[in-house]
Amino acid sequence: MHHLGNFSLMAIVVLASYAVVASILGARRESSRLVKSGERALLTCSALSTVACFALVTLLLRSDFRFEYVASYSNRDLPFFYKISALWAGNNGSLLFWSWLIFVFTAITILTNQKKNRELMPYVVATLGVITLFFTYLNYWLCNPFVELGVVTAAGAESFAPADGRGLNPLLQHPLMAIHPPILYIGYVGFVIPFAFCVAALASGRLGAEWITSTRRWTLVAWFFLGTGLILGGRWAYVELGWGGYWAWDPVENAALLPWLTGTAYLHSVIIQERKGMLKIWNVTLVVITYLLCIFGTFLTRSGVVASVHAFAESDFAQTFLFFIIVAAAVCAALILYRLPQLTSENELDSVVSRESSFLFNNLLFLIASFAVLWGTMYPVLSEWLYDEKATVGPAYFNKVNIPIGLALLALTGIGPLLAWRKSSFESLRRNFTWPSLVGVATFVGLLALGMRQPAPLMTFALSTFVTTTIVLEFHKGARARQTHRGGSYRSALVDLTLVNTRRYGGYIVHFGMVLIFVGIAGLAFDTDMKADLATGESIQIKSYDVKLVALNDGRTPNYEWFSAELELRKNGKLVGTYDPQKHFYFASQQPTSEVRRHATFVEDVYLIFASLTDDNKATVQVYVKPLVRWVWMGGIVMFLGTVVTLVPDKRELKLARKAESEKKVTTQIKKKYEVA
Amino acid sequence: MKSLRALSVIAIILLSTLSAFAQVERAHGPEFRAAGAALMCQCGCNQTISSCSMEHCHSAEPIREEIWDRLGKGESIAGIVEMFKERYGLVILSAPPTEGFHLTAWFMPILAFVFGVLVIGRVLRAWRQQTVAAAVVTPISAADRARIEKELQDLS
Repeated sequence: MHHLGNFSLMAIVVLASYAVVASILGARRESSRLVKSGERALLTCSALSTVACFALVTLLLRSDFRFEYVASYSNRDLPFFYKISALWAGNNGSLLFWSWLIFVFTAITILTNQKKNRELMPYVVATLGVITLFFTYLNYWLCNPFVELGVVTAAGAESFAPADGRGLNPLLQHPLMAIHPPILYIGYVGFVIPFAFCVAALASGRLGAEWITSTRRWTLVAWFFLGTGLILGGRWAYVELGWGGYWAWDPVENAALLPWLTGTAYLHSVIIQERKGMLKIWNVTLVVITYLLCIFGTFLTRSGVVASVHAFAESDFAQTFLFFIIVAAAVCAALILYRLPQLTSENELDSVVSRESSFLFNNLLFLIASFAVLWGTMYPVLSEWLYDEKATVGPAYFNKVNIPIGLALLALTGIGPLLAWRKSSFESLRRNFTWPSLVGVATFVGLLALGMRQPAPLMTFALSTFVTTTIVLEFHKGARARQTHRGGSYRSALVDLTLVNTRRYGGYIVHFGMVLIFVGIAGLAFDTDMKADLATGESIQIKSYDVKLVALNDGRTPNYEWFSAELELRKNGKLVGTYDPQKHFYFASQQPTSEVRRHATFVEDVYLIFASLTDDNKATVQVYVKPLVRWVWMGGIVMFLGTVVTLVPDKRELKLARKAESEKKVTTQIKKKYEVA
Repeated sequence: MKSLRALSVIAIILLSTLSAFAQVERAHGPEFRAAGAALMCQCGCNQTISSCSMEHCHSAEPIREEIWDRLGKGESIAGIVEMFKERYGLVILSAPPTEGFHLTAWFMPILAFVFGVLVIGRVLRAWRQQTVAAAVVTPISAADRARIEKELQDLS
């Protein structure tokens, strides 16, 4: 099976190289045969990549411990589901999976562009070919997952298979961790398609709206998966890591946040290019930056340059990766400079108080946020390099720097939609801002009167109600107008309104999801926690809750041994439920983990951890009361729904597509008539 | 009127939910949390002393105990953090200090923001100027007018 895997990787190197050369030659010589053969070569690579992944999964399922990767990330008693997820548990396997995802996206792109974007496709294929070639090179030569274990004896090197594997990291043995990496990878990898089209547009000089229209949905899908991956990662950290939080500003978390931030900036700025033909240079730059940040994130996770609890074991391809990033950045910069005259646009602006300005400021804030995160993440490396003393940059720094930026972005989420394109009159400003501002100010004053003094949560709650009011009013005004013109019920007008302009109203739903997330994050300011050693029958009190240890239990499965503290939770004396936070001890990896239990409501979570067992048989129990955490997950779900709405082709788009189709038919008929005549 | 009522209901729900957190007591005390959040755990978890969840952590647990003791003796948060900085070096701090070379850590995002605002200011001014220039009607010279009329006559 490993020979099949290695052969597939080798064949990919050859075929992807051919695809690059054939596509570029095909474009230069205007030979459709060469272009097609390049596409077919890359499609074959996609099939071969599937074979390589299949080979590794088969080795994992067979528990074939002759192979270093299998022995390092699985063991015989590992459940079937986690044996499959071991594919992305280690550096080498996850790179193979990463490459496979690129090939899947490549195949979809080639197959869906057989009759369109034909001038761009040779360059798209060449770009994708170079990228896949790079990753396959890494996978074959520098981090091959099919390497056999061996021992050196007097007779020479002999293959060796341990009786059992070291097992999967217990923290990864969680359903969320099985789906979080693939979803995050889809996000990271998905940006390769907009990037390839952008490079193709720059290389071919076809810098119109074509490449943007073709990649709009790809960008949205990649952004959506990256965001969902981040939320799922946060959820996994919250329910599995047992420290009571969901975001720690760890370098690897930051690495995924960076392209999400620049991707969000692009999704906003591209609207200006589509509507007004402006910001062409900026948009190509943003697409390039976003993809390079995706690659940079991969580099950060795998190179060991920065210390992270999420990172893979240090590997020796840091220089190769860095070289690739520098070359890619240099090529893109050269292409942008070369095409600069074609990228200039007709810019029109009647007033600074306009939607265009709000988009610019939105982009600035997203870029500053990503710069601050990048700067903070890399600062320990920089300070060691320049100052000869390593500084640590943790939550205290990131929170201080990013809270003001986040609040400004939240404010713009509400302000932007209230401003008109080109120019906003005083009258329209007064009309649009009155209600949202009143609600925002009322929230601020109300909470102040109730005794809330922390500035960041106060501002967050006030701005959240401001933004929510703008969103509600946008839907309400639109639905009312539609109902007046077309009749029918208010509800059908609301649905119709959303379906007519899915991008706009789906976008508002996404904004509302963000508001919920901000409210959830603001709840962090009110966290309370307590730790105590409890004997059976003893209890502790935290806020209005009583936590009583009822019993200590234990048991074992083939994979691990467990201990649990049975806790009775009461609120104001009334029984809420019984929970059993556990401690697992995994046999293969010899590692303990905490399995937390939560009593979750929309107001607050009671987070229960069985930290340890003391020598005198008492349970060390840690209890957190964490307000508003559920709002973060709810915000994620709302963002998911909003993105789905945005991805649905709106009625206007469908109408235009039908019109274009019928016009095409008429033109063909006329042409035929003339040919006959 | 209906919309006003709906908005009021939303506002009341939000306010009542949020007001529950307006005043809270901290079981661990804000001083303890602040000191713990200002210090990084040295076990390799990349988390603060407050957040490290490793069982019997050789780094976080003794530091937590020491913070408790020192707070109990009436020492200030700044004093405690400074003492740990002297003992472990900069790596114990969860944010770079605001002095010397490390000021760059704090100033760079601010500088980037100021630079960005200046660039946006320039861009907006340029866009405004282009719009104004496009709006100005350039008079056609007599020669051009004659040429256009001639071309129109030739066309007809």
